[in-house]
Amino acid sequence: MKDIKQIFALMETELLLEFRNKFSLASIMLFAVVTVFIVFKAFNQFSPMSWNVLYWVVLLFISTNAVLKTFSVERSRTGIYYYSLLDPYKVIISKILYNFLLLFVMGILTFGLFRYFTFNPVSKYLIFFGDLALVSLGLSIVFSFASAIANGESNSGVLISILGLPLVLPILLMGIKISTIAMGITVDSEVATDFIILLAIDMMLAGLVIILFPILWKS
Amino acid sequence: MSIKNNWWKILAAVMMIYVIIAGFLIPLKPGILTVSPTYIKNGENTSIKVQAYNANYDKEPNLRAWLKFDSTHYLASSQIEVLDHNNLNISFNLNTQIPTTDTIAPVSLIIDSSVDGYSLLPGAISIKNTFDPSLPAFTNSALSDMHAWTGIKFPFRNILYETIRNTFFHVAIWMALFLLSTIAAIYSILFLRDPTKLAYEHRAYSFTAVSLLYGMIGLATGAVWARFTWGAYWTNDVRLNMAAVSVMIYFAYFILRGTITDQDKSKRFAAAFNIFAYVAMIPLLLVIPRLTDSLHPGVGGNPAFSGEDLDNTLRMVFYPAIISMILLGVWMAQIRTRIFKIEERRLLEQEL
Repeated sequence: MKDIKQIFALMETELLLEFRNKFSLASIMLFAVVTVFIVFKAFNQFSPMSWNVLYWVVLLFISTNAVLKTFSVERSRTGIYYYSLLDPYKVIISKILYNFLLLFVMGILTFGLFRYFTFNPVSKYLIFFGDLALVSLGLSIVFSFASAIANGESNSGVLISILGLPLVLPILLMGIKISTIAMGITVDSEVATDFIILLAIDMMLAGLVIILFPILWKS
Repeated sequence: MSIKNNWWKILAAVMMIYVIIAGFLIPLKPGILTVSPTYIKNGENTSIKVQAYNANYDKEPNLRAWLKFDSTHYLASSQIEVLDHNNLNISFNLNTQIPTTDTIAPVSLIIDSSVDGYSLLPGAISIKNTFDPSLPAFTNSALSDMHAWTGIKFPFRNILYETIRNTFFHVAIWMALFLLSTIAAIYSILFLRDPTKLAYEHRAYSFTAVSLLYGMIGLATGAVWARFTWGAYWTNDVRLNMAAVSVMIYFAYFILRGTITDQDKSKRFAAAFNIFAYVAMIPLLLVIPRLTDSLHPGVGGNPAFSGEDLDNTLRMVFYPAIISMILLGVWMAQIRTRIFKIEERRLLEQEL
């Protein structure tokens, strides 16, 4: 119970920091708006399938930008204070959960922007948003890990992309597959199996990150 | 350099030479390549031109052939004309009713010879059923005294043909890769448990390097095979694409190890990422392809190598191929590790 409280307290701190520095959140949102607008202007005519693919690709690039500064605070002097105070497991779980929430909200925002600029191909909302939740969880796990590794390097942005993109590929492909079902492009009775596979990949990656994070935290 | 400690290197080399020689020189069993016409109808006598592969029809005086409707209904040929050792003209008396209720019935062609054994082309011909009641009734002629080939030859499989030999290289190298990357992951864990032992990290790096090399060779041999059997170097196949993702993840390992400037940190992080990559590779290559449809055998719920796919002659070369690939990989990794040792010694000498 105490652990959970601590994790929530850490998340709250993250959120406070995010809102204190208003530019960071605004910059991610601006990035989302601009990307969606470029895609809209470049394509003009959308088919549901291209809508689907573009949505996930835009979300992917938003997420690489959004989690970029996950461990930026820890790099400074505050980091040494954190290090002496906190359990690494709690740190990584709170980071993953916070990034998950951030990406989920960004996903909904991007969906709204796509809906506003183009049209809405989604017919099964439960499947679509369940899919969005699992994919953003997967993205948040992988990119939190990648940014923990790349933290402190001069070219951390590039490093995050190199480390993270191949790892999120199966998650993203699975997500695209499920969302085509949510849009009624393909009919598949085995959507539950797909969800279980996606959840299993997420859980496996989460377990690994939680086990390996203390090694990275020490440095 | 004693034979006692290095016997496995000799074994690896000998086995590899054996695999290359046996794998390329043992011929294929005879089989039926094509038939024409492939679309006929009942109510008339039909002559079918058959082209076979590696067959010796001119040496066999007592050739027999059947059309197989289902497991109980066969139609024997009325006459067989041997053109040369690979080409036949087979006549069937189809002036009868046929034992099927379908409008178009796919039938298999079976040819039996005491020299070559029997061969079968599934779904060789489609017969249009005319449902003419005036035709005489079907007379079934059961298969009897089938000859089986007993010598050492690789099985003839339609679509695969001679490329079945790629099993010894493509499949074996991927299997060896799994073992080598497992060793790399184990050394990474050992290194993370005791970061002072740099030798573990060097071995992990070497084994990962060999795994990556094997992965690239595996992709290349697979591409050649895919071009022949599936028609393109790269397809939308699940396992193929997941393999590409795994190779990319391992590339990221090398980039990670190279880019971080702090030496201790780069090694520790790379080891952590190696474990991560290994655990991510297992579901990518072994779990997801089994759950979805794929062109690879052994996916979509089927076991990879049933008795039908891998017969004893193939096994005779396939198992040595896997063992020699593993041993060669270990050998290469050992050499890479020794390079690390030399580099370290040189650094030390410079400092002195």
